[in-house]
Amino acid sequence: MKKILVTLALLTSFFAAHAAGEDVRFEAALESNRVSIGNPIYMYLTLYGEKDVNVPEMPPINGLQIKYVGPFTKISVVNGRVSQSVKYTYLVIPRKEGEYKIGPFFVETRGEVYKAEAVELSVSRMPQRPATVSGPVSSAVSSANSRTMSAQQTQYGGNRIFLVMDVEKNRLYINEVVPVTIKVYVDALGLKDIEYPTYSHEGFSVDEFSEPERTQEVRRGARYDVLVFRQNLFGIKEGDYVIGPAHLRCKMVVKRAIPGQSAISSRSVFDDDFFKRRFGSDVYPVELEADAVPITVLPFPEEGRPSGFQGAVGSFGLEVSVEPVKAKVGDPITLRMTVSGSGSLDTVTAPLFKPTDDIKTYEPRATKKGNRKIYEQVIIPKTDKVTEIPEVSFTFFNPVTERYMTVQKGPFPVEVVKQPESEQMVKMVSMPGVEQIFYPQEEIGSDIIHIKENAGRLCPEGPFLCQKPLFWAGQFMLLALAMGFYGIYKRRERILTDKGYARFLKAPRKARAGMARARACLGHDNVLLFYDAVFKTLQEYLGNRFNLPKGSVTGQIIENRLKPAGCDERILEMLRSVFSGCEMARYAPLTPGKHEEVEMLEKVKKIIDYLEKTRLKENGRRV
Amino acid sequence: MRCGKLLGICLFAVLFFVGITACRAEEKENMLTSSAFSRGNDYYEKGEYVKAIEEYEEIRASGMESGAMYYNLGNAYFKMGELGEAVLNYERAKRIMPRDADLINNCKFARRKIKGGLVPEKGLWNWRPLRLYSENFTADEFTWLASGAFALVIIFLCVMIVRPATKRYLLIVCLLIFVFVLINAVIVWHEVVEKRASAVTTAEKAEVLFGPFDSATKFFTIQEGMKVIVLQEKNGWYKIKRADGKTGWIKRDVVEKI
Repeated sequence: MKKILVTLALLTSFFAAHAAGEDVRFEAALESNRVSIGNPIYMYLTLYGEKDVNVPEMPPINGLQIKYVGPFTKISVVNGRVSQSVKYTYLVIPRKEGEYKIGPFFVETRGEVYKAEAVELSVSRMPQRPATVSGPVSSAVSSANSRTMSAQQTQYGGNRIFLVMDVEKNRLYINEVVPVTIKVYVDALGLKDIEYPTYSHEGFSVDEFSEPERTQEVRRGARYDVLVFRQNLFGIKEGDYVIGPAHLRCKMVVKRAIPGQSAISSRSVFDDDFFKRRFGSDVYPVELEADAVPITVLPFPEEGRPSGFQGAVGSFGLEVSVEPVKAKVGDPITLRMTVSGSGSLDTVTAPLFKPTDDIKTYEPRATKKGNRKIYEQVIIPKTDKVTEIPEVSFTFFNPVTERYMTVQKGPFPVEVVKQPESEQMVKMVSMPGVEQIFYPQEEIGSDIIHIKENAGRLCPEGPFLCQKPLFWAGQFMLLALAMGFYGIYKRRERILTDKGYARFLKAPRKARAGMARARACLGHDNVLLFYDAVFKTLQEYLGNRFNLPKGSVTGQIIENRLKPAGCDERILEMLRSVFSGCEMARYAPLTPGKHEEVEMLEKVKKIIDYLEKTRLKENGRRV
Repeated sequence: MRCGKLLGICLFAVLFFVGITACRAEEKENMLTSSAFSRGNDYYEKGEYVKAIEEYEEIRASGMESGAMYYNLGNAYFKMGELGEAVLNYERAKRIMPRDADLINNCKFARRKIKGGLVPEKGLWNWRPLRLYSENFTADEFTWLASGAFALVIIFLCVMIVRPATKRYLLIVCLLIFVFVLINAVIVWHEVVEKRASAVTTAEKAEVLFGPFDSATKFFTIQEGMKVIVLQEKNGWYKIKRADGKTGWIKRDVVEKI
């Protein structure tokens, strides 16, 4: 251990002695002097002959985002001469178009100040085209079927990330499928959160993007990691269109340098393990753009256009099978028609065949399996005269040969036999152990049911029952009966429970009986009997009328109760006169004449009539 | 006293005579209409539908009606190929004998023949339980049902008065019956209003316009046999509502009220 330490100390002092003799210089360099907006590049500040200096300060520059990545120290021994340097790496992300001057930079070491000259950077809006790209886009796509790369850029000078959109053809027919490829080229950068590219495609219908592929590609001597997005599109209307520009959003991951390791990794940019271990990395959102591509959609040629053409474009084959080839009348026969080949299967419709009167057809059912489209059509032979299924044809337009093509198959021989008698029957009885009985299958007719024999109850046309007044009278009568019942019941209940009310009710009846008794005594010799009857009648009536004990009814009491109750003074006077007259006749030896008796009876009648007709008020209560 | 008795005997005699005369007149009327009905049936069975229709229409012109008469009339029109008139008379018959199975069948059969199919109906009255209930009785039957239920409510109320102990249970029963009465009353009201307003298209095809004048824009078309509701009448035009709620104006002679 001691030996190792001694050796290390000697080596250090040796390198220090030799290094002290090396020239110190400071240099600045850019990865590339021309770059497009959003494409980052590295800038290196290298100090030769020294390594123990502070990180050079970077002044902020409007339009550029500069991020310090890390240092890289290098020591080399060549022929016993030791050289050392430290390289400070910065990531420069251009945000605005323009010409920039970065620097100069200064470092101080051992009391000396060293200067690195400024570097110049030209930032353009669009990616820089190499000198080898042939002319403008419009001229590049003039040939009909030539494989042109409208936005093809073999090399972007110094750009570490760029997007390219390729369209295989720029002249195509309606419904012709053309693949679009969008590639992301990345050089030694990490990417994450990569979104699917977007682009405008007016006049075209597009399929879903297929799963992106990862690959590597060499372009102009440089190896790129490439992420490829593929999509099919086909024109739906003739005319001149432009698809794109395409845009793709993602996040760029830049690893900070750690001692002894370069900041730029050579590993695959889409390698997940790499990102999992990306301690000390920076993430920048970027939006990439690829050029738009002009495309012309041509109409179908009128010349030689078959009547059965229904818009299918591509190169297709047709296979037809019939199953079963032997069938009974009324049994289904399946005609399976398979269209396969290259082209858009969405534009493929069911192959045509002319059904005869002897067969019944149903709508075909379509299914897609890979690059095949299968139509299954059920055919029902109506008679046993059917010997073949008519020929099937399918017409499509081949964009390569620019001609219409019709594929025909068939006719297909079939053998149709009559239904056996037993199967034309309907089984009506089916019990275990019992012989099965078959009845002919009956045809059910349909018509209206026959007329009625009887006219039914003929009655004059009239209003509804609810519109007849008699009906409503009945309803109101019902209601009145119910209310009457309620009133009678309540009265009976009161009579049973309210003694005063019961006496009040029976007062007039008893008074009439008393009056009859008195009238019977009228003109008899026994005057006392008449006056006694009159007095008792009045006493009983007033007792019942005012719910008083019979014996307590005297002229004074009545006067005390009737007068405050507002009774007519004339009646009171009559009452007094009747009571005094009765008193006198009953207790004084005085014999009144018949005239007085009649007058007395008349007074009593008037008093009773008055009290029956008049409602008096007693203690605020009507009695 | 003797005079009063004499008066009573005279009054009874007059009433008896009037009653007998009225009964005989009605019997005679019934015989006439019945014979017209029989003749109509005979013509129908011979396939002379025009004559059969004339006989049935004669009964109707006399102011008499029956479900069977409308049913047979509908059948005769159907056989004549006049779908609108057939549906119209089936609808009239349904108001008198809604539960008649033959009538229901023929009405359905005729309606299936309407060109363009039936327009799907909308609204509360198309709610299946309510429709099934309301289509099974005539308006007068609903009225009797409601009236009977009302009488039952009154009886139960009287029982409650006499036997207060039953109030607890009978009150709920009364409330339920009262709801039943209300439902029936609403159905009766709807039947009465609908009868006054319902009509059937008798023309083969009729265009419904946006206004009650010939140059108005066409809105929609109603086919022969289609049932509509007449909302308003103006200068020989009807404002009608189709089952799907669309309203418009149509000439009066194109539809006939049920």
